[in-house]
Amino acid sequence: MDRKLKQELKQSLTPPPTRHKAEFINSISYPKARFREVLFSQIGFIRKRVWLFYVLATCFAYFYTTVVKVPANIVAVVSSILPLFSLCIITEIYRSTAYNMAETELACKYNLQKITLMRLGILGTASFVMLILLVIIAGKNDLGVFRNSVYIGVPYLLSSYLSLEIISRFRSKETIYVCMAVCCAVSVFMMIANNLYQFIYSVQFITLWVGTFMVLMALTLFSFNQFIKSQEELQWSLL
Amino acid sequence: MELVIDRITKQYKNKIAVDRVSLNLGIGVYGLLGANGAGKTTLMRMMCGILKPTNGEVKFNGIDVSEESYRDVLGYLPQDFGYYPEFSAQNFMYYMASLKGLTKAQAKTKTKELLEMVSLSDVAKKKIKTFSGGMKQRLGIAQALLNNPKILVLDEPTAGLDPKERVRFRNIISELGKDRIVLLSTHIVSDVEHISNTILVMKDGQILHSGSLEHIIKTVDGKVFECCVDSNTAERLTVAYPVINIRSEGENTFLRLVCDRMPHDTAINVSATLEDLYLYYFSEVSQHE
Repeated sequence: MDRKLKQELKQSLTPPPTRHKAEFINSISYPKARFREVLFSQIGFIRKRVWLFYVLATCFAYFYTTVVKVPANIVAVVSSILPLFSLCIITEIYRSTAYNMAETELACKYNLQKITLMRLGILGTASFVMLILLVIIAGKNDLGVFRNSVYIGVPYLLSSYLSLEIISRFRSKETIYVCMAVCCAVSVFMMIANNLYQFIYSVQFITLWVGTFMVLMALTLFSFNQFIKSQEELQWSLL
Repeated sequence: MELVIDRITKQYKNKIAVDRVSLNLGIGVYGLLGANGAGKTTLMRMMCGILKPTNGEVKFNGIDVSEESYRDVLGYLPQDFGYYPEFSAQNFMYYMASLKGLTKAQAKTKTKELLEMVSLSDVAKKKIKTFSGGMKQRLGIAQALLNNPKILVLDEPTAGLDPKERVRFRNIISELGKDRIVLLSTHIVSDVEHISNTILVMKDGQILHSGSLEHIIKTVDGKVFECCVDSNTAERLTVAYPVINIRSEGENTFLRLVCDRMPHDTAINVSATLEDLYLYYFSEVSQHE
């Protein structure tokens, strides 16, 4: 069609006003975000201080082993840092309850249970990477990877288990301070143990360490399962 | 579009919070009216899948309340709306959008549109902990609308809003009720009166009445009286009957009462309002409390 005619037609013809535009837009179902996108988006919503702590803790452990160079204390230093890692995870997964967001999140497509699992997945992966790094750092002594892993894992699992039990039983904003106290106590105890009871790291106690590790692992998994189940509905009572 | 609530019950040890409630809700605004402890919040929580019912079921177009696809069409504003204090309003909306399964682009568009709707665009980048109660409530309403829900459940949405904002929100909720199911609970009787197509009166975990304003009011028609009496008589009447309005008029006292029979020789029967009905049904609750 002739361009000039087109323009003239446009000028002379007024298009009718839109009708039911809002209803039409509302009726369209937009494509939703995929699970993977939601999962990755949660990384940005984890508090910056958590990431900062992870980085600082690893830097400290690295500095201690490479600059200060006291191999006998490496396991004690690393194993007293790890309960603080578990505290970071606990504060993040308990965040919804602490800030009264659980009810709002329970009514979302990706509900509280899924969000808790996502947060745990992200921080768990980060902790695992850090754990490997710390085992490598701690491996600068003559204990070997296996014994180092067990010595480092026990305080981590102990603080995780105790914190999970606490947040499952007492649901208030202040609960996290109790977890903080417990994790710090485990952390301090590991430092003291290294100075006063150095013999516990001797080879004759390794069976006891491994046994403790296995028991704590089972208890932590059980507590975690109970906690995740409790996220299915609002923990609230009329009585 | 139909939300079916079938004989839903919630029991806590020896206390029944919601007792065999059955409702069929279609498009429109439903106002849930009841005193504290009537079971409104428990009913709403079960409708949102936040609490599991002891018995009964909730289904939307055949989809059970426990399914992800149900939550996908749900918008909810709880009574105690929590927030992460370190989040800005915008970040909070982005966070909620991600939980509701919106893509980044949709989250941006919807956040902008909704923050504008609730007049929070100017403070979008400010932390929520600096917000007033009314601003937090407006943010709560905005997050409930992020996924353009087909079921919108609002537990006391106008609490903390000033009269001007309340009227604005009443209009917004009325508009939203044109193409979705909106259920709201409030203690502000005039809100329910102005917005709701259907009013549900709840007491002791059961729905006592449901219907339009005119239909509901019929139950107290002929039971509302006004009179102007001396102070002794006024004192006697206020003890005996639920009082809706009381004021001094010279040496006498003006009273508006709800009662089954004429309270005084000088009393005249007047037309009832929803507030009269509320007081008629729930006065005994406040007397006991």
